[in-house]
Amino acid sequence: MSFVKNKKYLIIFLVLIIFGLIIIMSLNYFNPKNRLKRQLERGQKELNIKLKEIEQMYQNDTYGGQTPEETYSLFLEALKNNDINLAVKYFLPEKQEEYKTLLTQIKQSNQWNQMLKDLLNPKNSKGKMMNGNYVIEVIDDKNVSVTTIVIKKPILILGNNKTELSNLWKIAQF
Amino acid sequence: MKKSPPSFLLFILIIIFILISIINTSLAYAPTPTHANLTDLAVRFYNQNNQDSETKISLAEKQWLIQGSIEEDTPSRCLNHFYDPVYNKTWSFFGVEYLYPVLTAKEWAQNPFTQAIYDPLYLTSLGPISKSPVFSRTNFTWQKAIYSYIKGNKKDAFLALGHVLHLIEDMTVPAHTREDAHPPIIDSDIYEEMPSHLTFSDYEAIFSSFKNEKPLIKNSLNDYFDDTAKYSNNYFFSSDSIYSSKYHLPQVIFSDVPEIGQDGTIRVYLLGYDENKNLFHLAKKGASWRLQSGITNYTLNDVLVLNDYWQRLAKKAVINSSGVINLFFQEVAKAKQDPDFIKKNENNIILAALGGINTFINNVFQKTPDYTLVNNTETTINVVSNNNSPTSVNLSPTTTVFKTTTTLKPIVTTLKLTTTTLKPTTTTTLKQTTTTTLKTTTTTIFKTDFCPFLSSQLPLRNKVIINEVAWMGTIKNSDNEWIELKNISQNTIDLSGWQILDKDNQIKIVFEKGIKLDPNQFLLLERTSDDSVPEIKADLIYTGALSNYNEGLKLFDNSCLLQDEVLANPDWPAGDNVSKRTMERKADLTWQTSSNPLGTPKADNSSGYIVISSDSSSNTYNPPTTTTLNTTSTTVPTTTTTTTTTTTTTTKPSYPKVLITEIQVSGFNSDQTVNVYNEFIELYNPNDFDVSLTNWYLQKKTSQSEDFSSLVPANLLENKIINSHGYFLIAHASSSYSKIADVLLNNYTITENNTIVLKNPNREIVDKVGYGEANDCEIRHTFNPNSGQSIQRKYIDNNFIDTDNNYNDFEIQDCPSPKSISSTDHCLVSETTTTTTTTTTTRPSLTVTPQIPYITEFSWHPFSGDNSKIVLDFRTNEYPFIPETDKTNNIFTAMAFFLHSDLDDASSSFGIPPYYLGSKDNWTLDNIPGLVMIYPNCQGYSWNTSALVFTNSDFWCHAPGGARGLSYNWWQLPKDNHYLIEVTGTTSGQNVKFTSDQYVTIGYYGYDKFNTSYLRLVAYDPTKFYFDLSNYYHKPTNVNGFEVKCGDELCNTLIFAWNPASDIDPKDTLKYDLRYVFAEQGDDLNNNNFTREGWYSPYSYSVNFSEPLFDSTNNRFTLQISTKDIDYLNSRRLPGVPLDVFFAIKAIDSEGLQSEKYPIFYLHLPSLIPTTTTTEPTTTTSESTTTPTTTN
Repeated sequence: MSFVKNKKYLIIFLVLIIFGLIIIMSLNYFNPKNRLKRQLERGQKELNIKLKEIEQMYQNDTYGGQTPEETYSLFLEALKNNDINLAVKYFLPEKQEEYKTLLTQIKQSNQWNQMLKDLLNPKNSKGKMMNGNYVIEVIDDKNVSVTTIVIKKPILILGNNKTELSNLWKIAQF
Repeated sequence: MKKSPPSFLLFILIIIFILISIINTSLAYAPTPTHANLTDLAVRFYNQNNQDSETKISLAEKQWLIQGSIEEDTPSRCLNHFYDPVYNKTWSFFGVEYLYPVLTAKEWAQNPFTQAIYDPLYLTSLGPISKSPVFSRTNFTWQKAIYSYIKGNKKDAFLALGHVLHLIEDMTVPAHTREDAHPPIIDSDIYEEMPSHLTFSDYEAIFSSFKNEKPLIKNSLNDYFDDTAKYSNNYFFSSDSIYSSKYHLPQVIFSDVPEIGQDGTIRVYLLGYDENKNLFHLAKKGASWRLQSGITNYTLNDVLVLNDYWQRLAKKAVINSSGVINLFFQEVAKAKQDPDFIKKNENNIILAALGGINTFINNVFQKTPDYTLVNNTETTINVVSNNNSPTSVNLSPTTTVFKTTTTLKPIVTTLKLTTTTLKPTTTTTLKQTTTTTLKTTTTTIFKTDFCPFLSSQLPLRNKVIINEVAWMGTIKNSDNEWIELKNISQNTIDLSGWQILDKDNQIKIVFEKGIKLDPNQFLLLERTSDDSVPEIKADLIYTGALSNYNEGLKLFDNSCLLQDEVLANPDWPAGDNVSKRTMERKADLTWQTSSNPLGTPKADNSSGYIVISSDSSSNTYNPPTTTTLNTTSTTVPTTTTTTTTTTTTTTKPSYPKVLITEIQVSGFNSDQTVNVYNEFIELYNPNDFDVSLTNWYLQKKTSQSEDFSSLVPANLLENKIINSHGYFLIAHASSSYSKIADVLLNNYTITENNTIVLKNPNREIVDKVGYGEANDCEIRHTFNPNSGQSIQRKYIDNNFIDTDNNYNDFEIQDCPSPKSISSTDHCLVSETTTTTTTTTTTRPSLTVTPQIPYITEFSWHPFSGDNSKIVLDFRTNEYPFIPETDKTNNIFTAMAFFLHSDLDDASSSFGIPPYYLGSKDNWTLDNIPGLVMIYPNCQGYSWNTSALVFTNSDFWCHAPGGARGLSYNWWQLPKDNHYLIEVTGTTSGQNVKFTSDQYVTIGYYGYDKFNTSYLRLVAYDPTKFYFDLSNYYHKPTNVNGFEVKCGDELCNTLIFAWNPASDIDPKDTLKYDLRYVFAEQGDDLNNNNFTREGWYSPYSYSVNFSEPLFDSTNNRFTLQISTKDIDYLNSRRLPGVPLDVFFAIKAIDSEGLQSEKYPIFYLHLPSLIPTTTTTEPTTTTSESTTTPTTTN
């Protein structure tokens, strides 16, 4: 009888222990700090997904040269053919719409031929490496600096962590 | 009673620490030079200004600070390095902000809990404990730094403080404080990139520029964050926030300021004020066809802009960071005064641990998330006058309101200090920032000042011009001066804020608000009173006189852009003081003397002052008859009589503009040889009247000379007249242009690199042209004309342009056109002539040699593991290697490889190569048997072609398209002149299965000088180069016995030694490639067992060296090299920072094949300044050989 009674108390004790543990775990789960921790993990996961998408976007991107000069040549060739859609593909993907608008505006404002003339001027044929980027300063026949073209390798930078997204050089600024 | 954590807690802690030590994440990255250097400067600046020896930073402490500032940049932590002080926001990236508990940098630096949850080992049950600064592996907060210092753990203290300094330094990057749409991901901010490319000496230079100043003193860390972030936000742009509608600042003071650089290039800038009201370059702006609106029109990618930014922001980073170090010691001193400081903090651990369920329950019902609690105070930023509108933000320091929360006890006693936050802000800041480091490139202009008269701007002359000036006054009174403006645009121009200034600072006219000028309308300004022009009412009365000499007038718009100018240098360009004729603008905006003695105020200008010459039937301009001061001799000995002026005067006469419009240095004879006498100088009269050239003369100067010498003396131009809008040709008597020349000379020559000047009787330079390497010119010299070419002034819109810049004004003419705009009449080298010549030539003169005159060691053979790839393998001694001839130049050269076979009669009968390589636009062999190749070309495409085309410079590798685009890519030419060109087939369609009975002969081609665009045969090498079946695709053996050691105590030299490798290909020569990487966490320093595979290239750094010494006695190479000559390694050797480096070596054969394995050698380099504990100069370990997983 006492064994049964003791066993009953033991069961009640164990149930209380389990119940207590469930409460503790529940409270712990809903702890704002842990909610924040989970938020951080979700955020990191979300960020990683975005970054993966960007990496994939660059890996699928075949427009550009193995050297900045090649990219620039391809870009010029597209401009010479009046192919704005092709020309903007040599820009960083996130900037393509922006520069498509710009090139279209240049075309519509009858500045296209002057632009081509300046870009194809031999004195504007060569850029120089500046802070890791290939920079071409376009100078017109009046010796006025018209624009600065920056061609760079797409690199994902997070703090000190740098990941080369593509081996193709892309135009970052025109 | 001493309190200690219960045993179970200790047990858990021990377990956690064990886990931490086992799980070694790879979040430690190579040091960032920028933060390391800025922190180093901040410490030096702090020590320099700190007289208290107890709080001076030691070398070891500095090293910890630098380490902390470097380690803050781990991938997760770096997301908290942004703080927009205007909106108190961090950043967003595709909306991730809302899922990610990133804080502003200001909050991040002081929030232990949020820093704790970034620890991958953060355990739920220990969450409350990690709120304490005592416990967290990833807690590097301000509080942690102070607590650790009090506890005596200086290393942890300075590591944490280093993390905080990193954040302060980041606040000087505008992209971090302007919520830039693109944080440093992919398209990183150009300013943030720039400092990492600076050398240590650059940092030294910036340090020396402000070393006499003092650290910025603030009362709280929040103040430092606010001050630093607001500085970079309010005064600077980030790449993607130029003219952003989000921010009212920085204010662009001048929006279109052209500047002429040292290279002669004109660049247009936005200028802004810095905190000292000094102008600096805010951004560079596009011009010409580049549209004048939109964010893409501006860039920070400019040397002047980046330099101006760096000079100011780097200084701010150092001064403020040193102030934070100072504040740290003040906080430590205060904490030491509190006897309960440690107890309170350690109580937090125990209470939190024992609080158990109570803590959890409290947390569940806690309404405010912990991560918004900063330093036990809740911070709200109230931007003064902001009203949620960025347009109302001003430069006043923001007010920081601190509300004390009652739920938690303060961990660090900074609360008392916050009441005085605002008091020292303004005065201290101004005191610290009075140095202007770039005064050479900027001009100080206060907004209320007048525009700078001495500006290098070119006048725009597209809106309102100075149309007429009565600088001489009127006949009635020489003081009756007046100025007339005219609107030449199609729009009404608001002149509010426009200025007219004169050189002598006597005239300072600022137009008041409301003055507008309609198209073609005039505005009359009269001096002193309305009586200067009695008949016409003045629009504006001004004061101040115009001098008759050495004077100038400039018209600026309300942005201080130069709209127009006219200079008297020393004389005014037109007008006559004797007859009181005004100076007025012509239609082409050049100046003339008015034909009306009273001028034409508020009316169209006259047709110009016409003088009737007695010896000519034409209207010719001559200066009025004048006499010099001694009146004994007449300076203009002409017989001219004027119809209007006979007054004797002491003033010098003025002369009209005549232009030098074309120059040829030498031409060709009919047999295409150079004729140095085919030279000429063409003058042009742009005026509406004829000009007498009597007493005019020309001079020249060579590039080696300082003085001008006579070229065309005055006596040869006496009585010569140049008709209105007519030409005047000066040529050599032996020239082919002699028949049309106006003056013939026998004993003069003009050559390359000359400066030619035309002077009037006043000895004033009327026009000057410098070309080639001339040492004198108008702003910038133009190009040298080659033989047969000329330089001609550009002719646009029926006018020769004259911007007083030779480079702009002149262009090369392939077909000189004396006395005309353009002509082929005098183009002695015509295509027709050349074609006729070439068609009559039956065989070219060939340079045939079996020795291959231009290349060496030619062979063609398989070159791959399975013999599937065939290459042409040859070397040259120089580049370009195909020489020029009298018929060709080497702008473009080519090689063609004609394929023959001993067994094939048809092809072996071919022996005469084509005279021209393909056609004008298609440099190929067409159907002639030959090899087809593939190589990198200027187009960037891989293209099969039957000619191997080269250019002689990068200049020609710019315009892809057509045959030229197939030239070998200039930038990918082999540096060792060893060519391996892949053969992809033949012109007859054969694949790459060649047999040993097949051979090639080689034709060399050059760019035809006369038959433009054709490649002409230069030489033919009939040597039979049979196909070599041998495959030279053999790698060199591995290098053995590789050792590296320091040559001295501080390792300022490195000594490398190794045994030579070998290669079974007898013709191969070997060279060695030395590389290195810096040790990272996870690398086994003792066993050289790399966890990183495939690091050899391109992630390692090359050691450049010339020739190692070979010791035949022990059969070893040795190489001694200074660490200073290993550029990147040297840049990482900061004071107090030792380096662990792995070196490796490979052999490379003539074909570029590398030995398969590379030995690795680990070396410890002590810090540059040895610490007292540094006793062992070198640490070496055993060598091992690692086989990379990647194949070569």
